[in-house]
Amino acid sequence: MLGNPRQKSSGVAVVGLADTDYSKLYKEQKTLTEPRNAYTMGVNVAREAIADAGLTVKDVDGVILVRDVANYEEFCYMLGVPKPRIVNILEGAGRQSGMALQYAAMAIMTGMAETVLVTYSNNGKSLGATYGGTPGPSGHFDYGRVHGMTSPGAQVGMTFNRYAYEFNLDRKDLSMLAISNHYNATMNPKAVFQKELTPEEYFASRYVTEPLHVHDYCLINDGAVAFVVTSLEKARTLKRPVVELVASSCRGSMSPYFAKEDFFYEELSEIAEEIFTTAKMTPKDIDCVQIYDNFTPTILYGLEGFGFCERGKAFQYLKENGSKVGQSRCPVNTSGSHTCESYMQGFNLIAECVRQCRHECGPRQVKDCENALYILPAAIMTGHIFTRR
Amino acid sequence: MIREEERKSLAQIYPRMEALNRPFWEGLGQHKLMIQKCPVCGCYQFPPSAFCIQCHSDKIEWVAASGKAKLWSTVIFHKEYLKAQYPAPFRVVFAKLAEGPLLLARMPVEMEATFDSPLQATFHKTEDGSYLLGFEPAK
Repeated sequence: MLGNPRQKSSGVAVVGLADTDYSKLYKEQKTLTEPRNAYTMGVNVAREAIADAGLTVKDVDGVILVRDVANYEEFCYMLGVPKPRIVNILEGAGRQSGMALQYAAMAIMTGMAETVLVTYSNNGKSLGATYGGTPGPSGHFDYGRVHGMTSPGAQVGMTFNRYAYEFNLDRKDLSMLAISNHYNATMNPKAVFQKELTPEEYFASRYVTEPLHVHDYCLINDGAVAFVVTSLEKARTLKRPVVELVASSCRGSMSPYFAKEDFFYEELSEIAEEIFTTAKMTPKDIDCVQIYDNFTPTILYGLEGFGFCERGKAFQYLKENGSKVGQSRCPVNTSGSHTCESYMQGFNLIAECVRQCRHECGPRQVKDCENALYILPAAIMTGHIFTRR
Repeated sequence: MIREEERKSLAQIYPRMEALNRPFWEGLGQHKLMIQKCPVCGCYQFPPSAFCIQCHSDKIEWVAASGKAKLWSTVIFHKEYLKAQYPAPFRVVFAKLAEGPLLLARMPVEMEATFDSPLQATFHKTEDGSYLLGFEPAK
């Protein structure tokens, strides 16, 4: 019905992956004489990802771009893909890390394209992005902004304060998440922050939006990530590690605020039910989980929404099961994620899922990792399950 | 920590008035908290829409809310995203109206902000004549 009737795609796999050296770019930020060009950054990682897949630019017939490469004509011209079968740009928001891979998979499964390049490029640091203060894209933001309410961090801070009240929790336990991210990042040579964080340092640090400290907030840094996604049939011909996207699902929560009264539970649990059923898995089959953390409390909501523990019990779960690589059966945010590795709005977390499944993570490699799960609590929520084939 | 009446330059971050939002913003000037009510299914909604978000009727109307609410959550900003209007520290609350909708509003940072405590809406005229909705502990 759609696309190429001769294309057979029984599933999809990520066969190529590349990203920038976040640590190097961050260190060089102050000595830059001009802002980084998001198109150049994006085209460079795209070329690396295509080469990583053992493919050439000519093999790419679909292009999905995200954030600071809005002019897809310019990007495709520079890369040398003049006639993609599908091509589009998605907004620079973390929720698109769910959609981008799902759109690529949809294109491949329907025969609309066969080898899809996904590229996220972000030069926000160079351009002075702050994720707060500016007028919103919609009228709903106005009702909060007049009161000084701005920034998604404040919205998550509101949910965390409420969550801790409803479940009678010690807000100090939130420190565990930033501390764990820092610990995992010490084993990641590309992470922007590679030092451990002590509880003393955490509690001494300034509040951004109380009760959230600066260490609970994601980084703002330049970088780019690219994937090449193709059919399982084509992936098997490529002599590269095949990391299959075995299950993926999505739900929107279209309310006036990023803060959700149920802490994203309803939609996350529906996604979990679908993808665990499709993959014939439970949380116990997952070897590592990457949870979108623009701000650390969403890690808690992700664990609960996906049934790793009951509602209100995420702190207890983490104390009993751990989250650090080498100290947990299913470590969480193994690259140091958004607070320590890089804030590529979910795309570096997907990269970590793929790398863990490829067994390419060196000192932070989760032993015998077969199944990696990506959880995205947001206005559009997603779960991706990746399996090493 | 400044009082709402002393808050400067609010008009700079006030949204543009238009048909959809005017009843709310003008209502503040009359010390009224205007929200929408659907005469068909009886539900209240805010922010506004041209339609009832529950039953989808186009008969949606504006009504004055009671001003009663409970504190759903709160944060204190220490970072100054809006330097002219909101020097830090300052508090924002999510108030859950008795009628149902969740609203963002002012609350002085020094006031006690207890979760689920009863609140009452307040209306403040700021330095440049712009109005702000606030909530305070109900007496």
